[in-house]
Amino acid sequence: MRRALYLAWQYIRFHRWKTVVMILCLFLTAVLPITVSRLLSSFETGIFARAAATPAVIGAQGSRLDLALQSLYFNRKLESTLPYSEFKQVVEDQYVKAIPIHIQHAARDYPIVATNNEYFSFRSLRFKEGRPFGIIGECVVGASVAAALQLNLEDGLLSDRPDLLGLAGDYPLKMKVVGILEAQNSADDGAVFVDLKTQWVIEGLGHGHQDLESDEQSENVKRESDRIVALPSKVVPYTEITPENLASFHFHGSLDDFPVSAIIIEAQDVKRETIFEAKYQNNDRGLQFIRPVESLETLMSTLFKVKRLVNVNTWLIGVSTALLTGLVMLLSLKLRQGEMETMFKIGCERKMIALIQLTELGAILIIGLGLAIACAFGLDWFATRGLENWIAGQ
Amino acid sequence: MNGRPKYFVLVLMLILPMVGCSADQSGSEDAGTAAQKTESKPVIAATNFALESMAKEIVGDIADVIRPQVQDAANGLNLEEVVSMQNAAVVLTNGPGADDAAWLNLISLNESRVHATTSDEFELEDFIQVEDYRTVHSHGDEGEHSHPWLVPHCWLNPKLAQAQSLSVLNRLIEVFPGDESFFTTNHRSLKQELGAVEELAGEVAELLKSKKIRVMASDPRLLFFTRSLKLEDDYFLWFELPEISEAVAELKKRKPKSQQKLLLLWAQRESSGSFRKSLADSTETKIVPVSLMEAGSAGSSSAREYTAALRDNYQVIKTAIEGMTD
Repeated sequence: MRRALYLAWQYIRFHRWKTVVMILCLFLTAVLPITVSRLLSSFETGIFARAAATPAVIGAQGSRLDLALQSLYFNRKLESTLPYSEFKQVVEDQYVKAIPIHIQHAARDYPIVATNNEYFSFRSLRFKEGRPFGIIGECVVGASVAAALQLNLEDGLLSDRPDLLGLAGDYPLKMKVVGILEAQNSADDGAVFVDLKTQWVIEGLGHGHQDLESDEQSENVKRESDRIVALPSKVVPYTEITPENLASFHFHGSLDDFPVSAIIIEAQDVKRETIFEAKYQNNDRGLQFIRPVESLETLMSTLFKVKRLVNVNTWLIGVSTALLTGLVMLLSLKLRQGEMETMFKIGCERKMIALIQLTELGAILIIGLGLAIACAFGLDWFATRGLENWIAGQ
Repeated sequence: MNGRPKYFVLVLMLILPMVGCSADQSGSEDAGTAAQKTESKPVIAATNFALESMAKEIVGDIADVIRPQVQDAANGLNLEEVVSMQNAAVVLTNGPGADDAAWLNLISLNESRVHATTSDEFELEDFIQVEDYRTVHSHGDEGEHSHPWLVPHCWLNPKLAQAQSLSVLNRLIEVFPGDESFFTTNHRSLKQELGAVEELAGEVAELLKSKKIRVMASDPRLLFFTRSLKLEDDYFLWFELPEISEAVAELKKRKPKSQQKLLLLWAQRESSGSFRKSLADSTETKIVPVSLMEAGSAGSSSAREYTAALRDNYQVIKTAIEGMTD
């Protein structure tokens, strides 16, 4: 065997350009279908893993896919919301874990995800630095957000104004970064997490007051005969919740009526989940119960059609490549007939000659296909690192 | 030589399970589990003294009961206390209708751990709203509007305290189902104590009725207490100490014209002793201080302090009535 390997290697070295061309042919034929197949497989695994970790979601009636995508990837702003009282009702069910999700605003284009601290344990998110949010006005940022915006603990992060031209629009809130999450390679990396009440402050449902008559405000106001006027230059273009003004923050109206986009549900077992689902079937409260996996299957079925086409194409190309390789080998054998005859005459067995040629062919196949597989895995590794963030960005 | 590895594997297979079953190993596991149990003693947070006391009496040593001082008048919110509350297995609050902690809206708590003790066991008529003491808001285009003030001091009524304690018990059983019988036994004892205080309240109510004493309260915070004495709502709005002359004038104005005796229940506060004395002397009114029980005594860890304080409130009135001559 060692002798066969040596002779095959010498042949490959001598006919290196012919070998390179054959390896390239195999590589180029194999790399595309393997890569596509690998990427689709990773995409499928990734998207379904997150969906499977989110057993059920309750939201206002509307697009099931939008609701699933928002609760998984935070990439949709849902127009319809459900009242907070609905969430409180769900929470009272001891057999169900409920986590609210409310997304209406962004901070420097990263979605602000209003939830509660249970979300971090639900998604097994770990803190690289800091702690969960404790009071209104605090936020926790994902690893990508922290890296992109170069945020550190105690830094401020302004919420975006949804409408720059709206004079009566929502006033931006300057949030304080109190926690930075470890990278998870998921949509959570690109999100800013806040408490629901912080989001309601951003939406203008809650606010604080400044005591303009206090000594601290004396530099910021002008006292006129019967009134106190804030100096325009001293008016900051955002709201900031500080230890000094925190106690003055309050909400107008009942919190029960305040909006929540979706409620993630994790029931104790399938039976409880089914009982829970029954509560939301044909309800007259305008709510729907979805299983994100089922919603994503609808989306994925379109992608799978493309995948099937790629698979058929792969088989056809594979067969044609195999035929072409076989033909090249046969022609090569024909050309090398004299060489083989000489080897036989100098004492080389026919079995050894066949072994030499099989070794040459095997080496070319292994190198060509090996390169294609390595390339596919490399591309997959690069792609999956940012894949979920890319989905979130759509 | 070739057979040796086989014997070696055989010996290993025999030894390894024995090592796994050794007494030392199981002993250290038990110690480890015990240490873990001590370390992971659950924490229950309560937002007021009564709930803290009730929870302590029900859970005994099974859990640590804390009452975080989240809001500090001087320094705003205390973040360390907020975090200790966030880590609690259950956060017991009075809940809507008798909200005792407005700051709950300013902190992040997992809703699944927050238990409003007035939600399940209270009837709508149990809540008290004060129409003549309103909180006024002025905001936005809709202008000013006001809401009647909802009295949070439901713990001053032993009957409602029993309902609250039942709500606390049910929630604790939900969270620690393994300790149901222990909790139920402890709750039975707490309920008996509160029942005894309720009986005392009944005695005081009878005494007030038989002696035809009119009772007024210094402010609406005492309404849960006066209602426990089966009295009509009759109160001043002296949340802050008024000027003595104003207080005397107001009390005289509302004092019964007949010879009916007047007992003024005074929401106890610091440094009001001389004020009370002047008011009592000027109007010939018996003034009895009543504890609002908004906070326990400093460093207190007694589970029964709440029922004792509640009993004291009735006892002091009983003594005062008995001391009132015909």
